[in-house]
Amino acid sequence: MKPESLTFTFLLEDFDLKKLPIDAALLRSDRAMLESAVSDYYAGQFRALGGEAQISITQGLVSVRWLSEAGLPALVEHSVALLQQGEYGTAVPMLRTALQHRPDDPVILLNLGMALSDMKQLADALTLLNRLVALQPDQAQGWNAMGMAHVRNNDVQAAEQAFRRSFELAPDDGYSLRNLGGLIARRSPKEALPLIKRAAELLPEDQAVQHGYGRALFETGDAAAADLVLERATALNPLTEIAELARTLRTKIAHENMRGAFGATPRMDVVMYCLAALKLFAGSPDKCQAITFEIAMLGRQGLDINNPDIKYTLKSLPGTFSGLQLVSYMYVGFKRLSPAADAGIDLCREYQQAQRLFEADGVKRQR
Amino acid sequence: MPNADTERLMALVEERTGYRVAVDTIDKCAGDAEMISAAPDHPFHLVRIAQNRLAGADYLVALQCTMLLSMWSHPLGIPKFRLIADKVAHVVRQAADCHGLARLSPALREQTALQMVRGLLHQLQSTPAELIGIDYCYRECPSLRQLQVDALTINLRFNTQSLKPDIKAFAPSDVYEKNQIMCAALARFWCDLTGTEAAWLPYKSIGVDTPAQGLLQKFRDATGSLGERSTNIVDAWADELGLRGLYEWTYRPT
Repeated sequence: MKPESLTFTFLLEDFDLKKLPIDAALLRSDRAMLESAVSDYYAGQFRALGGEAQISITQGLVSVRWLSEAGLPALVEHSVALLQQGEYGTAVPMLRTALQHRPDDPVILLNLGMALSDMKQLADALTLLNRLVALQPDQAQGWNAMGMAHVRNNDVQAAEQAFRRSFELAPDDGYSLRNLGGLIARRSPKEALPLIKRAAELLPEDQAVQHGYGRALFETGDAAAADLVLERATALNPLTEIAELARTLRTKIAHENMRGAFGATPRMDVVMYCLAALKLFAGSPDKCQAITFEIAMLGRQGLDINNPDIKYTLKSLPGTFSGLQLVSYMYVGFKRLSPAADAGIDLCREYQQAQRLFEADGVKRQR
Repeated sequence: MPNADTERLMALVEERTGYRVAVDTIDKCAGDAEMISAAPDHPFHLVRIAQNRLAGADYLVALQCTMLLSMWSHPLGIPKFRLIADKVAHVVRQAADCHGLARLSPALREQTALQMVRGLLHQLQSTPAELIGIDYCYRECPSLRQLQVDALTINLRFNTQSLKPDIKAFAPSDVYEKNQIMCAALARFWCDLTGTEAAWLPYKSIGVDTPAQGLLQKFRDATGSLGERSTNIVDAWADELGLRGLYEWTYRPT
């Protein structure tokens, strides 16, 4: 097969310096270093693709000429993979070049359109996506991407039209459902719920969709179901910002449930747990930190404080405990170790009452 | 799903040390993560990821796990890098007398010099273990590769901030040069691992390339368990950099 030559150019000043392992100010002060670093970056990008890449930088214009048998399809595939990694600054010039060669290619139009939409270059994004849906009016993905660009452009009406068209074309596409549901939820969470629920069923591994479903359940008054969905969402990957949001909402739900019928009245079971913790930590102050921190860490996965089952164990304290018992111990521990720290739950009424009982008990023993 | 390589490493830490790894986030952090090794009064390993680095959390947790595995594999126990106060104080006084810090008040000069010397010693203690972890993750955790590239790009870029002329003029020259040699060693190590050159470019022209290559050779020459390698490399680097008398190792039983 004859090697195909592709050349794409872009302004050096448009290169995203965050892609480089060198401070931006340092690069701007040393033109030769900047040019070498950008060349090295593109050499690395094309090394994985094979073929031969020639990179030149003259008068502020970066020119990459790539000679390969793999040709345009490989370049497009690589660009799409880069977009999935968030490498927009690298992928977009490649896709623009690809578009010049194939102006009506739906894969290029869709991916470049979505990338420009993500980058808030909305006029250009809408131009490409309009061309895509004109060429392929029955392609749901194109309408879905266009709806998202309209949302970002604050044109809610056009967005809803586009999302609805996408939904008509692909009623079982999770992303169409998610986006349409998310938009409708702004004015009516109840109306949006069935759509978001279906999206969650279709995309069980998508943490953002699961979190959105949990939030929608919470907003429509089904806190118990919301908690289960949010727990699942957190477990999908506990180390993300979405997991943090899900955890925060679960804490809020747990707190509201725990207070439930009690309102401002202290819960006596919690008072007794706090009292037990006060006695334990007074008798063994060296254990306070270990127990408190261990519970706090266990709590990152979610302690079930509204379930009376005694199902938790600790390394630092023998026995088995209920979720509410552990949270009460943790609260007391934090009050001793770092009174200003946020324990994540408000047990101050119960704690104060337990303190009074503890002090009274101490006075009694002294007598 | 949580990254499979990260989960594997967390499970390995629990298997080897008897303590599980708990992961938390932290608002403010000097680097991208903090780690506290388990102890009887703290019955789990704690890895705390900076809130602004959550996107790369899987890799950062995996890296901290390699450091835990390293620490807990030392035959003498868990190594603790203890500074020798009077010797460090002497170096701090020398650093405080440098030209760059002269415009500060005496108290602030002393405080700044202390921070810089402590920072240098922390860099000495942590860089070899970090290199071991980077190497392990690159070779054994392919699913973390992109996150690793992103994390290293950020860290290496951060390191080059200190190459700005105003910082060079301000810092005590001895401390500054040793810091740059270790930064350059990290950059060269990453370039060799990935077949790239960009991270090395800033260090080529400032005269630290030969000593940095020397440190890397010491790194490659080290033998033994991960833990032994880590402490031996620190000692070998300290010999090269003239920092050997400023600290001592103590070992806590596992």
